[in-house]
Amino acid sequence: MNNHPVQVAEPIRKLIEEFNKLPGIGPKSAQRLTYYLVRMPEEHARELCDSIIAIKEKLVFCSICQNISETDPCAICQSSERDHTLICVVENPLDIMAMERIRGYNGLYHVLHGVISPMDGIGPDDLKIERLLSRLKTEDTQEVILATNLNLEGEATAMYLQKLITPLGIRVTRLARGLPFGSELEYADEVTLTRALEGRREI
Amino acid sequence: MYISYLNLTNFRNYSLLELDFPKQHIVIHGENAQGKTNLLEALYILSTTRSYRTGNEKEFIKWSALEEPDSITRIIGNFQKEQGDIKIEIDMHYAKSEITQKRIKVNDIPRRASEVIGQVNMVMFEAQDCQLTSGPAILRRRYLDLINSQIDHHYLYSLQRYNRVLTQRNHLLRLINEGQARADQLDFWDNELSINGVYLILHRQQMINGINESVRTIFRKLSQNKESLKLKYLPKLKYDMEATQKENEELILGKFHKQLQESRGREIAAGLTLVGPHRDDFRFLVNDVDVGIYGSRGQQRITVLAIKLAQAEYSKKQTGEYPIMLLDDILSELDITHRRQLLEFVTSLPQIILTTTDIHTIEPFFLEQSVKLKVIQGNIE
Repeated sequence: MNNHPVQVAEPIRKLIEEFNKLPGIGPKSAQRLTYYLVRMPEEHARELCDSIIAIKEKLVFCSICQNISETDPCAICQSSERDHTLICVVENPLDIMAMERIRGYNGLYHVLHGVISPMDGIGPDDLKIERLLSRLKTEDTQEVILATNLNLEGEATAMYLQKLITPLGIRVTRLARGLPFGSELEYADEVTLTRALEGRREI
Repeated sequence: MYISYLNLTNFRNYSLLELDFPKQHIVIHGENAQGKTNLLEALYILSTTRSYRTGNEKEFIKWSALEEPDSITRIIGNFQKEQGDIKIEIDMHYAKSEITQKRIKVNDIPRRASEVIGQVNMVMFEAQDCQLTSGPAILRRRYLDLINSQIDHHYLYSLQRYNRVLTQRNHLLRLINEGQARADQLDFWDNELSINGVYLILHRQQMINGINESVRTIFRKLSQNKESLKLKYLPKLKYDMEATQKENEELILGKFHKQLQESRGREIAAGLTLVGPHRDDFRFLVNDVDVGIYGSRGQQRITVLAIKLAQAEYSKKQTGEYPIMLLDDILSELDITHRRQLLEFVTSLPQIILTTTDIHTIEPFFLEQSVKLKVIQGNIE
């Protein structure tokens, strides 16, 4: 092996580094993306830049539901066609995208921006829980759906919220847990199957 | 159950190895530092996804392969089980001498590590195991937990969840101590800790009862009918041997909550969870005397041997199938009588895989039923 430094043009080296910082992109992918961009027409490159700048400049947090939005309040909170008595509480904005994809939910949302996790130093005060409680006191909410993830931290958060919300006389529900749709019993792991059995219902 | 095929790529001192096995015992022999133990280690990794020798998986990668770009360390095993054949594959990708990805497949379908444990059960016995009787309690808990995880998937789930709760709860205790969190935030974690903890306690006791059923006879034979061996579980939360499982569940759950309440102040001050099965111990009693404290080294070795044999029996009773037994250079540590007794005991099991530096120490009757593999510098003759 020789000891000459690798000769790469500075702008290329810099861009590879920037890509490498992104989640899910390793050194190889970073190189591939960079050299792809080198060959890209300039106007496309500008569009890409503008899109990146736009998400920093044009986006705000909705002061009601805390979702990322172009307007404040966001389109969902402003919509008169949605059911304003129903609030679905999620961990992060990506969860709203998942819920919206099903097209079957017509209520409002509330984004916590995280879950309770003492080992990461995240407690209830670090989440948007106070905002949720003040919403519940001023809005005409009938039901809160707790849609945090079904892991330990998600459940800790759901339990914490349930204790706070129930005394307000509002119905609190939790997403069902059990078998994924289209799955076969034979391949389900035992814990999932146990939960599905516990959560069975009459048809 | 037995192994019918093993394939190693860049694993320890093996560049490439492919072996077919008949349904027979296997005697791996060869001089020191040729790669005998590495073979057993590879098998053990297929069973548990982890090594018993090291937590640093970088050590698995063959030295000469470390520098090669895009190379891979891989272990593949085919096993014949009564319910059908099963193929387990573990791939490790690495870059710049670090493992970047570890992938596990069962019958070519990607699986999580927790889904592989229990598929192919093995009982490993090696020199370090003698510390089980006299070493720190964590060794015994780990041993107990592995046996239970192999036969009961829900045990593994409860254990992983319990450990996660423990980490979270200890952090929360420290935050409360520093005034950054409130004590009422402990409620959820206390509840999870006790529900999962009770499952662990009850099933540890159940397993110890199960092992005690067969270990008595086994140890009697090994000690020429003179002594009796018993495992004793020392849970931090006491148990009522006379009560039913359901009664005990409620009993222990109640005690768990009470103790958590009582020790809350001390736990906050210490920033540590002081109550629960993560502090349990169990001891080996020979004629009611703790062999870990008062036994000779020879006696401790025979004790562990008896426990491992009883583990195979227990595993058979619970899963319907005998595990594969791995004996790493154990015979040289036993006197001639015990060596013979051990081989007579295990010869009826479906498959024993053992290593030795001196093939002449193995009784002819056992050799006759075995495949003999000679290992020389990462190759098999």
